[in-house]
Amino acid sequence: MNFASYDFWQTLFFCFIASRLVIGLAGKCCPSREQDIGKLCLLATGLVLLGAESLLTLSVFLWVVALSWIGVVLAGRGFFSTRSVTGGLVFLVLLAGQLAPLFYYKYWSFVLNEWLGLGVAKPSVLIPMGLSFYTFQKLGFWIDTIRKPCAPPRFLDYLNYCSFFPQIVAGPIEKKESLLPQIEATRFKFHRENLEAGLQWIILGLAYKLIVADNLGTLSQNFLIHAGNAWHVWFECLAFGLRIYFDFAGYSFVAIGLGLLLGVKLTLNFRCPYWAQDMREFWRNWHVTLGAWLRDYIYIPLGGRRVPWWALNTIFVFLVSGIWHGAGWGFLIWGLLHGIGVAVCSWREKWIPFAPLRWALTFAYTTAAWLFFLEPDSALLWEKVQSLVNPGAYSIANLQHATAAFSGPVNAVTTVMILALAAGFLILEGIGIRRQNEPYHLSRRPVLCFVLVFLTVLLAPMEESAFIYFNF
Amino acid sequence: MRFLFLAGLCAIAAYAMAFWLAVPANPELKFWRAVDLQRDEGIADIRAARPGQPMVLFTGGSSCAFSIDPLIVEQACGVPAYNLGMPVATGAKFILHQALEKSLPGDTLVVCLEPDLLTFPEKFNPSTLSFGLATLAGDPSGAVGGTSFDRDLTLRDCLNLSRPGPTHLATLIAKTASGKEIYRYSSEDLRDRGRVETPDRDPDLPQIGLKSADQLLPAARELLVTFREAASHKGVRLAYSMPWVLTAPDAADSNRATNRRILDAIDPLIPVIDDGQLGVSTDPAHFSDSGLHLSAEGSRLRSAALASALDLWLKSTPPTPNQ
Repeated sequence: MNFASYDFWQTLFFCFIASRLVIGLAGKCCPSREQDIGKLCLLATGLVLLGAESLLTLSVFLWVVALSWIGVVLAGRGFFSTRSVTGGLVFLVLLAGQLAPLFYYKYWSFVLNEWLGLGVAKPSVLIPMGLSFYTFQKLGFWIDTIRKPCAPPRFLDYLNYCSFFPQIVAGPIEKKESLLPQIEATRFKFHRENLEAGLQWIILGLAYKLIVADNLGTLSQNFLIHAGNAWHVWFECLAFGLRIYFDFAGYSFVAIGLGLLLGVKLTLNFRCPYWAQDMREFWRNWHVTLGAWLRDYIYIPLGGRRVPWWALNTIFVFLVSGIWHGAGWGFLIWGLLHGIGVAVCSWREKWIPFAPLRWALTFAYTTAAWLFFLEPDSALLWEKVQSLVNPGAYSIANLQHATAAFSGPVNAVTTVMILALAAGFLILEGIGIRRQNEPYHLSRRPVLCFVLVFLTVLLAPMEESAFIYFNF
Repeated sequence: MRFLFLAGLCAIAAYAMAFWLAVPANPELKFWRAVDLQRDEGIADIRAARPGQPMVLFTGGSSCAFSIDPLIVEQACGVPAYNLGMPVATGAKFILHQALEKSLPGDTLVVCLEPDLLTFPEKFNPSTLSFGLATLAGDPSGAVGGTSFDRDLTLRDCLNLSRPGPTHLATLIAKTASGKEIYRYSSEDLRDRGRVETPDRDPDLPQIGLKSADQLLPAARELLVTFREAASHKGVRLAYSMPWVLTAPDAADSNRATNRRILDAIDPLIPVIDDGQLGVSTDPAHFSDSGLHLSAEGSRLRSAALASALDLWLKSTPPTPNQ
């Protein structure tokens, strides 16, 4: 379900047209059931789009939905509130059942082989799309129902809550109280009142994805990074940091736009995070819904800030965040670095009084940390880390060879052009923050949207790329 | 609705501008279109002067255009020859299709595709250049293989291939801003019988090291088999000859062995003409502005080596009957 692919829009178009025909017919035959028919069509659209990716993706999704529904129904009856042995066992079985696909497809090799050294063959190299996202969303729903038992929603509404296609494969990870009421009230139609706002988000999202993220992805394949040259390593981290932000934020914007067109308001997952002045602010603005999930279901139950070991809680939560992103030591270290960063910033606010310096340090810290995220080869990673901390790797000679990171003049010129556009987008974000506008307010101005349509047509790469976060 | 309407208008205007940049204002396309037209005229002249006589045609990426001197082949083999090499960026399907379109029953088509086109999947893709050339030739579906590969242009192809893309645009802007010549070849580089030659010499030509890919991809196998069937259907005889690539001396033996394996995989599909070099040359003096573009001297050597092997093969192989 790649929003930046022609296939997605084509499938969505046909699903929508078919749905409108069915809903129109239902409106004439049995008007009282029109809304339910619409919900069935919305569900069918979500499942068709998932199934179009692969049958594996659809099957795993349905497995997790089935188990989570059983859990929600039982929780609604207070089954897990009595703290009985049976309740505990059923809870564990359902939890394990829902997490099993995640472990099987994502963590098998890391835990059994890299960690425990058992040398068990990897069962599958493919991860069903969106597995981590929808597993977390359904677990959140289940836990909320256990905490506050109530009658379960209608099965159709629950299915639509789980399979709402704008957000199913890469978030935002919506909470029960945020998405379910909207799904319950939804009618599967084109909401004209949201047309302009929805289109603006979609145009901005596609521009972020196609102009910056995809081009940086293609160009970086040809970078000739010399691990011993610190300038090269910084450049690689910067390019990746920009790419992953524009990729994931772009996806989230399209999701918001599609949601608005369908009359559903999704949570803004990014709020100009690269303008953060400390690590806490960064995480309040980067992948907002994952941060909220980890806070509500791990950090606060551990005691949150109220316990003396709050810093350890913080680091633990970020280790979970790291391992959520991927199975590997690099992801763990990335999580650890962010955890330490957030803990230090929480310990004392504004270590540095000068705001631009705080921003520069935060940006540099997050940029350098991407190295652990992007480099899968541990030997090369170590070499690059050494470069970053070795003053000799910042020599004038290395600086003079900085341009050797480009494979040729065409690669250099194109990269500079794309980085300039990325900088332009970030500057617009920064101006919006200074003026205290809503996030991305300026980039969504109609005139700029028209310019972005032009630039997207002219500059989108010739090959389609998947979203990076589909791997998570 | 006004916003939707205006955004739609912008998209249409953007595509119009993109098409203009990608096709009419594309200097690379202008050059190769001129080459294509001249080749059409040249082949028509030869066929008119020698009616009924089959020709030997050569096709491949730009390494073919810069390498094969058809006059040398004609002297050695006694049949008129023509070079139909196109830029490798146009993709394998376009390169093969456009050559087959110019062939007649009884002709021999020597495929000189670069091995990379057969061992790296991304090189198969059609491009803006192939779209532009095919469109200007009145056969837009040729960009994706056309009748030779039973492929037609889809809406997705049209939307994608009618745009310049970031690399082309950035290069165009940078060259215009710096006052450099927009495209490095001109009509002065065109030689007889479709060959291209440049006086430019790169003193620091990159030599390729050890080749990583030595397997004919399943997609490449399918490409060659499909093309063999299309050629057979038209009564055109096919052969394959591997282009010369400037290779580091210490990688030469290994690369020859690698290329031998690739040629062994190609031979059952399309007969291979062995010019004795196995696609490897270690002498930079034989190359001009790239490690794939031969100089005048390199072209003479390559053509002579190929011509003698081709002559033997032509005499020993019966022509393909028209189906």
